[in-house]
Amino acid sequence: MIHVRYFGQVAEQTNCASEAFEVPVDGFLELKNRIIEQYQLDPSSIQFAINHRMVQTTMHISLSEDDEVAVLPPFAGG
Amino acid sequence: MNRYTNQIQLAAVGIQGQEKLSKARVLIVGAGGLGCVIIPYLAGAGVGTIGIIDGDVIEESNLHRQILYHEKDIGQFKTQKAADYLRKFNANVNVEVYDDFLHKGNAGTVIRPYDIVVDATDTIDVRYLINAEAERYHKPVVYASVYQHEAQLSVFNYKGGPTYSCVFGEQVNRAPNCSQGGVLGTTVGIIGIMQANEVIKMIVGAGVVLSGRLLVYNSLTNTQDIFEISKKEKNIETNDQASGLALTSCYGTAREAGSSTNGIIIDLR
Repeated sequence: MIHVRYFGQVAEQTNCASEAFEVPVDGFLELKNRIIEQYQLDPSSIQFAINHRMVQTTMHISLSEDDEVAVLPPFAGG
Repeated sequence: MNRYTNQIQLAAVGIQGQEKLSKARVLIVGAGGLGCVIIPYLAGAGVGTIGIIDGDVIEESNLHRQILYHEKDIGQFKTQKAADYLRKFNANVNVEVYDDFLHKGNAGTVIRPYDIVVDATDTIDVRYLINAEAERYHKPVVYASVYQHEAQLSVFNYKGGPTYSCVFGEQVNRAPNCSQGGVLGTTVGIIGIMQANEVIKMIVGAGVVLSGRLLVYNSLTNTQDIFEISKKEKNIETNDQASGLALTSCYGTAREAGSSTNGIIIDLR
């Protein structure tokens, strides 16, 4: 499984801090699109990290069992 | 013995570090929840010159987290009350205040004379403006931002390292601020002190600066994650005219408080 973690207001939209997804055949892009579609997220205001490394959201990256994907929005408060 | 004895005795600071602190010029953009803890801790450490820019006045709903301000201060400029505090707290610190919001018309003039810029704002548009101007003038930016019980921290543009745009892209995104999202004073306080800590580390040359990494702290679970950031190369022209155009197109919605581009420094001391 892929461990997906949600931060900030994304966690409010998904209503959970983390969940598991099947390893996607087409890698990161497939998972990203699925998450965006499932939770109606605005793709222009979220970024992704794989195993604690930020990635370009258009990159083809294969995912393996037990990888962790983080979904990170910008924060504004101060 | 002097007021800095207990930090001078640290190998990471020493007399040389203290001298560096006394010569340092640090600009705090925003005298809100983050600024209210960054300002006294930098002054406590003996940072020689502290600039504070904020056009906001104190409101009652600020008081739970903006700990430099008192009930009787409501309606007054945050910059003025923060400066009053600093003068009483440490007379050795030069305080330079700007009773204005940072905007396109004043950003370059305000940022340029400082060594380090601290992003303590609550507006993403201003964050992009700080990012652009700090890049133009080669200033490191100590960034933090809060959403409810989570906070982000990073040092951008440090020795040519990644910037805010490398993390969140060139686009101006929307995100709720503290009055929209709600926040505990303690969460803002924790992350503000971490910002002050990064500033001090950079000045004295101690430890590992949080450059190229984004720290996300959760005050409910006491967990923190650090994400590695890569530098993104950009197609930005370097001459002033082109940069100005780029700024207009990328950051055109940055707050235009004070429409005049001249006379923006209301109170400089």
